[in-house]
Amino acid sequence: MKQVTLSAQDLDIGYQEGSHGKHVVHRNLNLSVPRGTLVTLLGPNGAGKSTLLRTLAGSQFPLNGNVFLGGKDLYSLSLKARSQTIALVLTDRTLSGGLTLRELVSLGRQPYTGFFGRLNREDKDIVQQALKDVGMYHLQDRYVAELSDGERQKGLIAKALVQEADLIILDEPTAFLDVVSRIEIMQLLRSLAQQKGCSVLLSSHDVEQALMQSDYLWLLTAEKGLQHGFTEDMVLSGMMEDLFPHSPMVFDAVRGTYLPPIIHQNVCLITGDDALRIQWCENLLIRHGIRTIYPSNATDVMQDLGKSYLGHITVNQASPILYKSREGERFVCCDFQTLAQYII
Amino acid sequence: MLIMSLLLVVLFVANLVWGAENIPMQDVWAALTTGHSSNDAWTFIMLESRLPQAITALFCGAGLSVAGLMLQTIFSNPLAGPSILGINTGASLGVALIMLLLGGNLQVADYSFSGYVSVILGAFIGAMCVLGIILFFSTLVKSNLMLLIIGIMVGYIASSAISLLNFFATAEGVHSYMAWGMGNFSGVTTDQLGLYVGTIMIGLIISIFLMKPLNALLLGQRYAENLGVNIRRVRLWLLLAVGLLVAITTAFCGPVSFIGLAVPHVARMLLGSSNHNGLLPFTMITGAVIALICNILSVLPGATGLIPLNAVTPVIGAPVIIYVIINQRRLQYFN
Repeated sequence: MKQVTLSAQDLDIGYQEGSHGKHVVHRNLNLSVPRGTLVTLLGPNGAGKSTLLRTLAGSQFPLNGNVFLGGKDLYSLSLKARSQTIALVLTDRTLSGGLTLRELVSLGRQPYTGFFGRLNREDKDIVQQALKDVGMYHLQDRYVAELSDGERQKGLIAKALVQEADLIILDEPTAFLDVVSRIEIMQLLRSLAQQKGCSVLLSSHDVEQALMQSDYLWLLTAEKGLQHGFTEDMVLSGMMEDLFPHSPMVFDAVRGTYLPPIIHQNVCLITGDDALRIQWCENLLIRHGIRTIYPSNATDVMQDLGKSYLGHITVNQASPILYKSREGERFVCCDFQTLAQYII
Repeated sequence: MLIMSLLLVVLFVANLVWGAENIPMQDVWAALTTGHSSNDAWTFIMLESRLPQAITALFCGAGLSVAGLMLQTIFSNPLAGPSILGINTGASLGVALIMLLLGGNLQVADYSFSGYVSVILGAFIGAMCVLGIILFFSTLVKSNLMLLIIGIMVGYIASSAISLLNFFATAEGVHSYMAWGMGNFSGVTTDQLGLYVGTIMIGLIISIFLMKPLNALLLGQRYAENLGVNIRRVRLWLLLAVGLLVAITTAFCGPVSFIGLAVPHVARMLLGSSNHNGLLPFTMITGAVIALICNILSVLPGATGLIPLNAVTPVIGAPVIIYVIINQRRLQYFN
């Protein structure tokens, strides 16, 4: 059994409004982040993700219940102890533009340095190592104001690394990043969890990376509160649909993505042995609102189809795509662009 | 940093040499080291007037600039300065009460203060009262922005009280008050110098110990807390230091404008860094340098009179800032 780092029982989170009145965002939350795992918190905007993360990080008081870190109540730890156990990475604007990247990362050693924040040899080595880990070693003399958003974010992650915390909490770390940085950062966080044994908790809107890199998923919605579980179990449980209670989004458990609802009821039949190209043919058809059927279920459906049946696509390995329309016209397509012209 | 320190020494000496009457270097040195020089009048001017004035200017510049720097960091506001929290205005209100309402006399229990000393006391008490109000609100209000707004509001209240007092005062009263409001560095006598320098040193020493949390605060309150900074405590100490520095300088020199707001920016741009470990000492030295420059300029016109300090400071300071901005290719600290 993995040692639990962060846990909470019967937690109520929300805001204190004035001297009376509480605005409770979520009640009776029971959760835990085991050591050395990566947990992603998913949910629509306004569901309370940031509130939850702030409460778990100790920035905001819970309205009820407790947050435990390594078995001890979070608030029983001194501010200094907390700073050595939890590291935050946020999307806040900062005034750190006039610091060099190295100085920014060095701020992460404050929990361990003396009155003036002087770094000793060991501190400096830790800073250098963290810069290498995030791939920012060559930019350490640049001013933070001159870095791109992605570079700055990686710098802030390096700052969290030098805090040598057991738990790293990140609020939308990949929000402003390009595709490359997004993937790099998720991989970095994954390796932190797996190799260094940190616990990583992050909120994200990047479902694809979340499914790939997380050990556990937390789904937070206003309607259903917090549902959590092991990633693959969550995917196959049907709970992923709960993220969109009011809209007809469908979660495709095969692809691991949300599909737009198919409004038109046009249908195409697909046969063939090239699984890869069939999958992408389906992608094309979904985009144009066309449902696909396969021989296995074709005969049941064919009778009721009539006008909505468009044609039959054959995709075999090492040969072009063949399309036979309802009227009997045959087309040979060497690429999907050509196929699209005939189908639409 | 080194250049600035050298500049400081040069200017300090210049302050002693130049003035209504130019005193030659050897006499300055003789007066400083032995207490006597070739001309008794010069010795007197040196030790009783020039030296205290130079020291006053030096510490006023250093103190106010550091106060401005600390306020700019904690309120994440580059336009913050020592006058923004109303402490300056509180001091002015105290002085206005003494001069315009009480006619320049203060009776407290068995003690009676008149004239000059009463002004100083009034300014200090006024500043401390406003500081007390700000500290009180700082325990109630968690957000720094809200505290800043409260400070501005308190300043407005004090300001309107001053206007009222001026409105009902005599012409001489108003003129005295206005003359006080122009600021000058000659107000500290040698026996008061110890108190003046001592209090400013306390403020500066507190600020030195705040260097580390101030650096953390560059990242914002949430990150700073996560790095172990006790926001409430740091804010308390910072306001105390700022309050002391502003109160004592305003009490003795009148409300000196501009230095607290402008010098931190000049320092940041010249140093090229927002790291308080270097920025704080550099701000102190730069502030002292600028104050000494202003001091020389204000005594230059000669025996007939001094140019008021608050007329000189912006005239020197504003072009400096504009020059630095235009010549600095990258302003790094706004990101």
